[in-house]
Amino acid sequence: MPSNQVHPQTGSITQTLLTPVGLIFLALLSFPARPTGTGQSATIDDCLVCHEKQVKAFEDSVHGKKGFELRSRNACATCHGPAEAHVSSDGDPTKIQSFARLNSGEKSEPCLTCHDNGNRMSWEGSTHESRGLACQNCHSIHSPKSEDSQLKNAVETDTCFGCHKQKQSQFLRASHHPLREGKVTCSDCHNPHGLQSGKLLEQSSVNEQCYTCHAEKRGPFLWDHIPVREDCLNCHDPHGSNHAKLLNAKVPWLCQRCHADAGHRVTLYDQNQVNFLNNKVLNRGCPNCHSRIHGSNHPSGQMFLR
Amino acid sequence: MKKLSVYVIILGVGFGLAVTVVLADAKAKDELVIKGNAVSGAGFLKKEMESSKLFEYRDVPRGFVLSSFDLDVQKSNNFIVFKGENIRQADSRYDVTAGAYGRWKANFTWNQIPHRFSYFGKTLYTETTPGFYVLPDGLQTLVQNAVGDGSANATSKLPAGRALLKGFLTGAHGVDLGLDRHKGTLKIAYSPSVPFSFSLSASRETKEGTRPLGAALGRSNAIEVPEPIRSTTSDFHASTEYAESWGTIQAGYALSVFDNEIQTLSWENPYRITDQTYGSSTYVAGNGTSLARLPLDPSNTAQKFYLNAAFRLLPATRLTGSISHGVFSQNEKLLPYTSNTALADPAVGFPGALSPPRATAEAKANMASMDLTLTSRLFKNVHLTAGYRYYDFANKTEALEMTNGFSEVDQYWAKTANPIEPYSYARSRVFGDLSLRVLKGTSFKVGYNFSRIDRTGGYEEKLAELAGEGHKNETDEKTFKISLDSHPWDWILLRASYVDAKRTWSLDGKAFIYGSLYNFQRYFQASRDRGGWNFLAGFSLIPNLDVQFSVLSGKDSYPHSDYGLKKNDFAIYGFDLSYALGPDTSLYGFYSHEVYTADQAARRATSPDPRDGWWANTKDAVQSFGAGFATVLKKNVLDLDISAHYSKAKGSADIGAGSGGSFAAISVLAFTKPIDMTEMLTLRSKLIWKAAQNFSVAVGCWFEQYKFDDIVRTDGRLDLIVPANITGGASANSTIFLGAVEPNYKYTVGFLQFIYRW
Repeated sequence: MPSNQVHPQTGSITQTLLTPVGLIFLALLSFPARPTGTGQSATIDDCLVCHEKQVKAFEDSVHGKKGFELRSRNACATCHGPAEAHVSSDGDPTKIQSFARLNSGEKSEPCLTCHDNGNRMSWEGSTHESRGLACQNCHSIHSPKSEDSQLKNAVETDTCFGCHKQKQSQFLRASHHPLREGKVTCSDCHNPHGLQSGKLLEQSSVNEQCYTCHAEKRGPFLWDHIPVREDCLNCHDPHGSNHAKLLNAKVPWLCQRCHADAGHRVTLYDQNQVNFLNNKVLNRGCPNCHSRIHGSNHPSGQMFLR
Repeated sequence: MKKLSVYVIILGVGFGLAVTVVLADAKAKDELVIKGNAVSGAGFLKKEMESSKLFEYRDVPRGFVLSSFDLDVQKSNNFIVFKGENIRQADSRYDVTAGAYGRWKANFTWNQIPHRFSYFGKTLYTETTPGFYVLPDGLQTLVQNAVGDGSANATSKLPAGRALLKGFLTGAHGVDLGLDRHKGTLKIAYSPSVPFSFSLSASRETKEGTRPLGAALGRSNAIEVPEPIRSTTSDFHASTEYAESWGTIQAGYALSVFDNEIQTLSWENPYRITDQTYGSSTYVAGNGTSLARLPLDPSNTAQKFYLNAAFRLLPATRLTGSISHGVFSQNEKLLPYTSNTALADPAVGFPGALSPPRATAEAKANMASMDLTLTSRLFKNVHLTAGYRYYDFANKTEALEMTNGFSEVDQYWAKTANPIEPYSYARSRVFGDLSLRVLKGTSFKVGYNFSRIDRTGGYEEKLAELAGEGHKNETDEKTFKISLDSHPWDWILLRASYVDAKRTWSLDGKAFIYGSLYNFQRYFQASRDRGGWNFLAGFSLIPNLDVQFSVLSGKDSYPHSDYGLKKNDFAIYGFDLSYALGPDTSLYGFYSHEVYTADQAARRATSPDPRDGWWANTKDAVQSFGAGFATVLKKNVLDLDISAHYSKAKGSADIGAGSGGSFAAISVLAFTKPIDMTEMLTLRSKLIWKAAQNFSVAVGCWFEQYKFDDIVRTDGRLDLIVPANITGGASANSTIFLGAVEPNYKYTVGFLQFIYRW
C-alpha cells in the first residue's frame, strides 16, 4: 500500500471513534470546576514573610499556577497542614507538619490527595512504595530541576540511576538503546509509580512493550520462534550489552544455549572454525543464514532461513 | 503528505487558539511572562580514525549550528512552550505544548532518530526495484559453467567457480547502511472538571533506510544483502478517566498499524543462472535456485481495549484491577514454497512447489490480561499486598498441514510433513508481600509468589504429538524475596534484598522427564534454581559528601540439564561519590566492576553420552568509571565544567571437549583474540563566559575514542571466502558479506556557542 494513503482500517476507525469522543468533549465543557476547601488557614503571604525563597519557587512552579485552585485554595497549607499556630508562635517548627519527621507513606499522602490517578493509580503497594520510597525521593515541589515532572535531577535518567547502578553501567555499553543520546528515557518503557504488569512496564507484557517501537516484530508469523514469542529478554538485554544487537551472549553460543542437541547446531566453534572461515561463526554467526530469526511468514520457513 | 497536512492544520489551529487564550486574558494583574533561550554557534570535527559508530544515534554538527531554541509564554494559568533541539540536524527534536494548568494540554512532538550501521558496506548487487537485487547475467553464466551441474557433489569444481567470483568482487559498489526514524506525535489531554479527564494521542513514524541481512542460499552459500526498509507505524490511543476520593476508573482503546511497503526480498544466486537441484540433501554452493525470495516483516495490526480501576474499600485498604483484551493480526500474501522451478518436478520435488499452500497468512492472536491487587495497612506499621496476574497469548493462526513437504533453502525438496501448529502460552502469577515499618525510616519486606506458564502448540510440540508423546508443557516457579530498606538518619541509607526461586519444568505432569536418552530442555523452559542478592549503602558522614557502595550478585543453575545452558551468574561491585565543595563547586565520580559468566554444554552429534560432548565457559568482564568537576572560576563571570567517562567490556570463552565416551576426543583450539571487546573513552570540557546579563559565550570540546576487537566481527569481509583447511562440509562453503564493519574511531569535536536568555 502506498505510504501516502491512509490505511482504510485506520481511517474508518479513527473517524468512528473521534466523532463520539468529540461530542462528549464538547458536552462536558460546561462541567464546572470543583475546588476543595475554602481555607481558614494562614495564607501564602504569611508564609512569604519567612520563607520567601520557597514561596517564590513554588509560585514559579506548576503548583503555583491557578490550576492548583481547582484542587485546593489552601496554598501551602494543602501539604503542610494548618499553619496558624506556627505563624502565631513566631515560626515554632514544632507547631507545623514537618516532612522530615514523617515516614515514607505519610510523606506521600499529601501528594496522593490529588495525584492518585493517572499513571499513579497503582502507587500504593507498588515496588518502589513498598521499598520505603516516597514521592519526595524523586520529585521536588520547591526546587525542581527538570523541565517536566518536577524531578530533583535535571535529567530523568539521573533519578533512576541513583539506585539502579547496574542499568547506569549497561547504558554505557557499545550496543545500547539511544538513552545517552537523549532519544529514549526510562519512562518510555517503565512507569516508576507502579503498574499491574511486571517490571513496571507500561504494557501488559515485555513483548508488547518492545512492539511499541519495534512493531515489525509483532507478527504473528506463520512460524513463530517460541523463545522470541514468549519473551524478548530470552535473547536480548534492552539496557545494554557489549554483544551486537543487545544480545545476552555472543552468537553462536547464545543459540547453543537451546540448540545443543543435534546437527550442525552442536558444532564446537573454536579457533579452528574461525581459521576455517566457517560462515556459521563469522560476521553475525547463525543469523548469516537464519536471518528470519524473529519469525517467518514463508511456507518453508520453519528453520527461519526464509 | 495528506496526513502531514492534517497534522499541520491541527497544530496551527490549536496553536492559534492557545495564543488567543493566552493573550486575551481579562485579568490585568496576571502579567504576560515570556522566557526563552537560544543557543547557536559553530561546531568543528576532527577525525583521526573514521567510523559510523560515533554517529550511530546522533548527528555531530559541523559549521554553523542552532543547537537549541526554547520559548516559554505564560499568562495567568495559560502557557505555550516551544522547544527545539539540534535544529535542522538528522537527530533534531521539536516540541510544542500549549494549555491551561489543571484544565487542558496539547502537545506535538517531532523526533528524528538516525541509526547508522556502517560507512563501509559494499555489494555486487544492483537494486532494480525496491527489494529486488540482481547480478550481471554474464557473472552468473560464467560461474555456473565453471561449477557445472548434474553432479551430486560439485565440490571439486567449486574452487574454480569461487576464483571467478572473487575476480568480480573488485567491481562491488558502496551501499549506505543506515536508517532514519521520523516520528510525529500529537497528544491532547482535557479535564473539564476535577473528576473527569480525557486524552487522545496519535502518532505516525516512518522508517527508511537499509541494513545488512543474511540472505543465504544454503548453509553452503551464505550471502549478505542490504535489506531495504520502508515502513510506517501509525498509532492511536484514546482514554478517559474518572477519579474521586473513593477510587479511579480508566478505560481506553489503542490501535497500532504497521505498514511495510516492501514485502519481499529477492536476490540472484551468483552460482546459478538456471535453476538446479541434485534431488537430495546436498548442500553445495553450486546447487539450487537462480533467484531466491524471502518475505520481509509483514504488515500487521494491533488493537487493545482496557479497563483499569482502583477502589478504596476502607480508609487503609485499596483494591486495584485491570483487564484488557487485544488482537494482533496480519494477513499478507504468502510466497510459494520455493522459487526454484526445478523443485516442481515430481521426481525430485512437488508439483505444487511453485504455489503457496494458501493465498494469505490468516495469522491472528488474541491477548487477554487480568490483574487484581489488594493493598492494605493491616496495622499502623504493617502493610499487606496480595494479588493475581494473568496473561494469555492465544495464537489463532489457521493451521497448515503441508503434508507434501517443504523446500530446504531452495536447493532440494524434503518430502516430510511440515505442519504449522500455532504457539500459545498463558502466564499466571499469585503473589503476596508483607511490609513492616519496624523502626524509624526502616522497612522490612518479605514476599512470596508462585507463577506458572502453560504452553501449547509450536513446531516441536506438534512433532511430539505426531510421535505419540505428551504435549502439556508447563513451567512452575516459586519465588521467595526479602528486603530491608533503612534511612533512619540523613547521613545513612541502606538497602538490601535477597531472592530465591525454584523453577520446575514438566511434561504431562511429570517433572524432569526431558528425553529418553539424555536430560535436555530449552533453557528458557528448563528447571532452574535462582538466587540473588543486592546491597547498597550510602553515607553522608561529611556535609555535602555522599558516598555509595553497591554489590549485586545473581546465580542461575539448571540442575537437570545435561546440555544447553547450565549456569548463568553475575557479580557487580560499584562505588559512587558526589561532593559539593562549595555552593558553586561540585565533583562526582563512579566506578563499577561487573562479571557475567555462563556455562553451557552440547552433544556431539549422534552420541547420547555427555562425555562425548563439549562445554564452554563464557565470561564478560566490564569496568566503568567516570568523574566530573564543575566550578565557578569567577562568580557571575566564568564557569568551568569537565568530565571523563571510560568503559571497557571484554569477553572470553574457555572451551573444552569431553573424553571417556565412545568417541575420540575433539581437538580444541583456544581463541587468539577477545570476544566482543569494546572500549570507550569520552572526555568533555566546557568554559562559559557570562558576558552580559542575558548573554553568555561557551567554548569547549569533547574527545571520544572507541576500540573494538573480536574473534570474528572485525572481519566483515567482502571477499569470497575460501576455507583454508577443507574438512567435511566446510569444503562446500562460500560466503560473501557486505563488509559492513564499525571499526575503531577517534574524534575530537570542538564547539563555540552563543547563549541568549530572555
